[in-house]
Amino acid sequence: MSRSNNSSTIEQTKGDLKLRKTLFWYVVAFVIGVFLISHCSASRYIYDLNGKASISSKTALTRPLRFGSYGFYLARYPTRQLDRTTVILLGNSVYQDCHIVDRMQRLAENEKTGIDFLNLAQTGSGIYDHLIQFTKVLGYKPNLVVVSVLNRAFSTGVGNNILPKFRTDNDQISFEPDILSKLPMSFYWREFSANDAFDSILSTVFPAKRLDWLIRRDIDHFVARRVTKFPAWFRAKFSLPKLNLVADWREKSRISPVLSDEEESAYPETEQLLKEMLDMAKRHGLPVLFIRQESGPRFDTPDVISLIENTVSSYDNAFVTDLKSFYLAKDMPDHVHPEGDHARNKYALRHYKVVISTLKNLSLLTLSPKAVNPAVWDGKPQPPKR
Amino acid sequence: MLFNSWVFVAFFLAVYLVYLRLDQNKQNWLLLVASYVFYSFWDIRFLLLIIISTIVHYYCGRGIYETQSPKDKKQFLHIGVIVSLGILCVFKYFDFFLSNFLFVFRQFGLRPSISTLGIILPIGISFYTFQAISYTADIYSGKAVPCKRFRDFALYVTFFPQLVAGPIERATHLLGQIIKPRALSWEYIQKGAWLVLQGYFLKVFVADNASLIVDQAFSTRNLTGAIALLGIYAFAFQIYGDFAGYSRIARGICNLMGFDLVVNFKCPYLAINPRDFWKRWHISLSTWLRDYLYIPLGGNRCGISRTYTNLMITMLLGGLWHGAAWKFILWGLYHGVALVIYHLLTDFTKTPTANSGFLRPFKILVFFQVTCFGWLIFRCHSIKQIWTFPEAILNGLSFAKEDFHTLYMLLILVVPVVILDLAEEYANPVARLFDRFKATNPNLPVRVRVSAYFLTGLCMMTLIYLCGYRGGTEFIYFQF
Repeated sequence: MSRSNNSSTIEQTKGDLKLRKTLFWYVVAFVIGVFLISHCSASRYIYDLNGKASISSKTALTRPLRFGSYGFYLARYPTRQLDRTTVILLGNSVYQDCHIVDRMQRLAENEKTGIDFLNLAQTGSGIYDHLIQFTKVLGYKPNLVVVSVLNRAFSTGVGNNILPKFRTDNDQISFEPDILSKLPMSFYWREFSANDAFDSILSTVFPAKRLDWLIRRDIDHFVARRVTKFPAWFRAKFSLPKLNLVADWREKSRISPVLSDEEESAYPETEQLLKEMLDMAKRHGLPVLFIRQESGPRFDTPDVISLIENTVSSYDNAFVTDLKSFYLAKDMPDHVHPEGDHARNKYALRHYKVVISTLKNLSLLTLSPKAVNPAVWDGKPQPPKR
Repeated sequence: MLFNSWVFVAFFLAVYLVYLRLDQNKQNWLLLVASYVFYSFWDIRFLLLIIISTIVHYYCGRGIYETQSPKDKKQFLHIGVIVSLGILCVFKYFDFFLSNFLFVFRQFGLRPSISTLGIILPIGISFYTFQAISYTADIYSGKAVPCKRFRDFALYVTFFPQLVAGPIERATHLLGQIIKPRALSWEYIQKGAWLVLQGYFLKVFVADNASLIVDQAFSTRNLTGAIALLGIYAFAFQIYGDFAGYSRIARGICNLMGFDLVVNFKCPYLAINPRDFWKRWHISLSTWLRDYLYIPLGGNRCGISRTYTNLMITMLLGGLWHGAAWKFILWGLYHGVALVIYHLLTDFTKTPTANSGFLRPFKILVFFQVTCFGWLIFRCHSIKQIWTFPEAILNGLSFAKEDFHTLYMLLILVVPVVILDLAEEYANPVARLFDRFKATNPNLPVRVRVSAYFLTGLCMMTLIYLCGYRGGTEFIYFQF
C-alpha cells in the first residue's frame, strides 16, 4: 500500500515538474508576445519628435489627441529646421486649443523673421509635466523654450478638480532613457515611490500600457463605424459604458471637493523643480522664457511669480514675463481661454512680442521684424526680466 | 501594489516565473521574500508590525504546545492575543476612541490637553491579526500543532495573495499546504485562471464602474429619490464586485501556484435571511467570529437571552472590525438586530425558513432590500447622511432622463454578476443536466463546455479591456 503511495507521489512529482516546465515556457512566451505587441502598437501610434514620419494620422480619431503623456507624441509636430530660429512652446490648453501658436507663426511669417514656433503644449499641464516635457525637448536643440504657465500649474487643483502632480501622465515617460539621463536622480528619489517608479518603468518597457486608452478609443470608433444596423438614437442611448475613457475625466460631473482659493498653495517643491529645470537649461546652454499667462481672479492663487523671478535670476539666459494683468473679462469668460478671433489675435500678439523681445535680448533674431500693426495691440507688456 | 495595477501583474509574473523553476523549499523562501516586498510597496515601516506579530505567535504557539500546565498554556494564549489586539487597537482604534472620549469630556465642559495621534492605518492589519490569532487559538484548543520552521509560519502570516484583504485563513488549512508537498495540476491551473478572470471582471468592470454612480449619489447636494435608490443598489454591487473580486483573484493566484484558499463568497445576494447571508458573505470572517468569539462566549448553549446577547456582541465587534467609525458599529448592530429578529421568528414559529420553493425569488428580493439598507449605513459619510436617502426615496421616485441612463448603465454592470452567481448557485443541477446530456452525446459536451468557457472568457476580457475602469482604484476592504 505504502509502496504504491510512494510510486504515485513520484509520478505526481514527475508530472508536476513537467507541468511546471511547460507552464514556465508558456508564461515566457506570453511575456515576449506582450512585449512585441506592445512595441508594434507603439510604433503604429507614435510619431518621433523631430522625426520624418508621414503626415497622415495614425489613429482613427478625427484629430490627433494630445492628452496624456503620449499626447506629446501623437501629434505630428513640425520637424526642426536647423537654419531657422526654433522656439518651442510648452503650455496648456490655451496654446494647444485656442490657435494661439498658429497665429504667432503667421505673425512670424508675415514679418519674415525666420522663426519656427513648435507647439508642444498639452492641455492641463502643470509644472511637473512641464519639467518632463522640457527634458524631452532638449533633444530638439531649440533656440528658446517658452514655458507658459497659470498660477494653478503649481498646485494640485485645477477647474475644481483635484489632480495628481503629473496631471497629463508625464510620469509615464519619466524613465525613458533620454529623460533618465538628463533629470537629476534627486528628482526621482523625491517624487517617485517604489510603486510609481515600477509603474513608470513598465510604461517604458511595455509602451502599450500608456497607449491603452487611445487604443481602446480607436477600437470603440472602429466598432461604432461598423455597427450601423441599429438606428443612431438607439446606439447613442444604449452604448456600452465609457466611464473609463480619459475624455470623461474632464466631462464627468464634478465629484471632487470644490476648492476655494484659500486652499490653493504651491507645491513645496516648486523652487526645486524650477531649479532642476534651469540647471538642465544651463547645462545645455538653452535659453528659457517663463510667461505667466493672462488669467482672471479664479486663477489668482497660488501666486509664485516672485519665486519664479528669484529662481530665474540665477541664470543669465532665463527670463520671466508676467502677462496676468492683461486679463480682460470680456475676452476670457472662463478666466483663462480667449474667446473669439479678436481676443485670440490680441493674445497671440502679446505672446509673440514677448518672444521677439527675448530673442532680441539673446541676439538670436537675425532678421529684424517689421512693425506690428498697432491697431491690434492693446498694451505694452513689460519686457522680460533677466 | 494593487491587484488591479500593472505593477502587480508584472510582479506576479516575475515571481511566478521563478516559482515554477524552484523546488518546494526554495519556493517557500521565494514566496516569503515576495510577500515582504509586496507589503513594503505600501509602507516598509509597517512590515515591522507583521514581523512582531509573527514572532510573538510563533513562540506562543510553541509555548502552548510544549508546556504541560494548563495555566501556562492559557498565559501563552493571552500573550499572543493581547499583543496582536494591542497592535490592532493602537493602530486602528486609538484615535477613534480618544476622539470620542474627548467629545464626551467636552460635553461636561472639560478640555483635557491631549490630542489624537493621527496614526496611519497599516494596510491589512485586521486580516493578518485575525489569522495569527487563529493559529495560537487552534493550538490551544488542540486543533493544530505548532509549525516547526519559523519561515513557514512567517509565510502563513504574510502570504501575499491574501495578506491585505483575506480570505482569513486557518492554520489547519493553509499551513498544511505550505509545509506538505504540493503539486500543480492542469485542473488547478484552469480553475485558477478562471477565478483570476472572474475576479478582475468583478473588480475592474463591475465595481469600479459602479463606483462612479455611487460616488455621485453619495456626494451630490441635490439628492433625488432616483439617484438615492440607484446609488444604494450600485454600492451593493460595487462592494460585492470589489471584495468578491479581490477574493477570487487571490484564490485564483493561489490555485496557479498549487495552493487552495477557502471560499469567501457564495452568491450572497441570493440569501433569503440574515443567517443565510452570513453563510454566504465574507465567510472566512463570519466563521472566524463564530469559532473564536461567539462560541467561546457561550454560543447558544446558555439560554435564549444569552444567545441573543452573544449574537449582538459578535455582530457589534464584527462591525467594529470593519473600521473605527460609528457607522460600522451601527452596521454591525443592524445585522445583529436582523439576526436576533430572524432567530426570534424561527424560534417562535418553530419552522426554519425553507431554502427552496416558489417563494424563494420573492424572499431573495425582500432580503436584498434589507441588505441594501445595511450597505447604506456602511457607505454613508456620517450617520446624519443615512436618513437623507430614505427621505429622498419617500419623497418620490421620479426618474429623469439621465437617471434612466444611469439605470441602464447599472443594469449592464449587474446582469453579468447575476448570471455568474446563478451559474454558481445552480452549478450542481446544471452539472446533472450536463451529465445526462453527456450520456447521449459523448463527444458533444466537451466541445460545448470548452466553447461556453471560451466565449464567456472572451466576453469578460473584452469588457474588461474596453470598459474596465483604469483609475486603479483601491479595494474597499484594504482599509479594514
